[in-house]
Amino acid sequence: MIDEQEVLTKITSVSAVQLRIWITKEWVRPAQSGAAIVFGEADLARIRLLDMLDNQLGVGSEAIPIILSLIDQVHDLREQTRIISRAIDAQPADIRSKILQAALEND
Amino acid sequence: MEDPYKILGVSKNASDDDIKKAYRELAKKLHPDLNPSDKGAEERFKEVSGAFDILGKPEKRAQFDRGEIDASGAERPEHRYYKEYAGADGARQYQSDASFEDLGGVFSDLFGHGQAGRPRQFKMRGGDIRYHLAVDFLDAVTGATKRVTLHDGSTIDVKVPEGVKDHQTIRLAAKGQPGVGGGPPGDAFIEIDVRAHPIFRREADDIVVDLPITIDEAILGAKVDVPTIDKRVRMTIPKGSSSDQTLRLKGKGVKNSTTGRKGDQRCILKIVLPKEIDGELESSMEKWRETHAYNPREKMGGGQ
Repeated sequence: MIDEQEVLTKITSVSAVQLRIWITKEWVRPAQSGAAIVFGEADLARIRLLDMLDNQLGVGSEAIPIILSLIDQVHDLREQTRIISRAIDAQPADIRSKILQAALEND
Repeated sequence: MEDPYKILGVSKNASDDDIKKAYRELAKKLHPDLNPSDKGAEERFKEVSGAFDILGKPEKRAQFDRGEIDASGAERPEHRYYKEYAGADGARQYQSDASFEDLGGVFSDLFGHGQAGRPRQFKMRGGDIRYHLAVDFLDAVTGATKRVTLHDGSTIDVKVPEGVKDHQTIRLAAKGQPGVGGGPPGDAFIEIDVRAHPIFRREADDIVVDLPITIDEAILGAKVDVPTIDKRVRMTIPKGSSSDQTLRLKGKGVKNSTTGRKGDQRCILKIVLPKEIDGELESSMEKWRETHAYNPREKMGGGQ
């Protein structure tokens, strides 16, 4: 976990004001640690993504929450698919092939 | 590395703007976080951003054109993309509220709301709740603290900010419906309804009042007391003022919450005749008219 100042030192193209705005809009959701806010690796990567969208690709601030929401939904779906996939993988071979068969027929 | 011009698909004499545009178009298509399951896009994006590292900076581009640096000289430091964290525990705060119940079957059993046995990370944020709060005109102008009773019967003191506008919404974080499955609560949104004032009106940051004056004040000029939102101030009515003329009291308006600057108070003059027209006024007007008649309607032109 790193603090706000460290984030700004690591990602120089993002200003303190901009980071504050992103936090206010809840595009970035750092954790609370006592009176301070701290950022994890995922927060840092998300700030880099926002920097790319906002500062480099010129995606308007109207479009950013839409993009973020879709990205978050995609990741939820991917995570759920992973859960299902692991559950299927854990089955004996005959059940796995039955599931596979059913999926292919449905296609 | 390949020729950076070729990677971005621009010609050697492309303008800086063209290069930026080409890079943006490619980055929008190829950025790994916009293509989380496409490994090929990630590879291509790496090339594209490497090419832009050279061509996007005029001095570097000139060095490259002169052959002083080669295309591999500008690899940017490796950063891990957001997609590598998403879905994992470290990014739980970014999970969406979507339920995927519409997928039915096993998805609905596992990930639908309120279903037994769904994985613990599928928590949902509580709903937002809207409230209305009626505020007196002057409280809205100067700011005030108002007590609001929430849906669960609890009360909360809401700080109405100075200069709040009619229909403006105040957000109270985490004061909405409680979350589901350990999710965070929603927010409360309080819409402010500003009550009308018998004297003052508001136009953006200005306060507007109709200011009645007598005919002698209009003709001879005067100093009059005028109510403002904080106290009465003395204002000079210039000699020869007409109805609908506007006098401005600088800085006597509402403080703008963004700029911090105060608006003005605009006083719109309204000439009011005495309740009874006495003989003296009448005869002096008759006499005055004989030699000073004027027509304020001459610019209105002819017509029916």
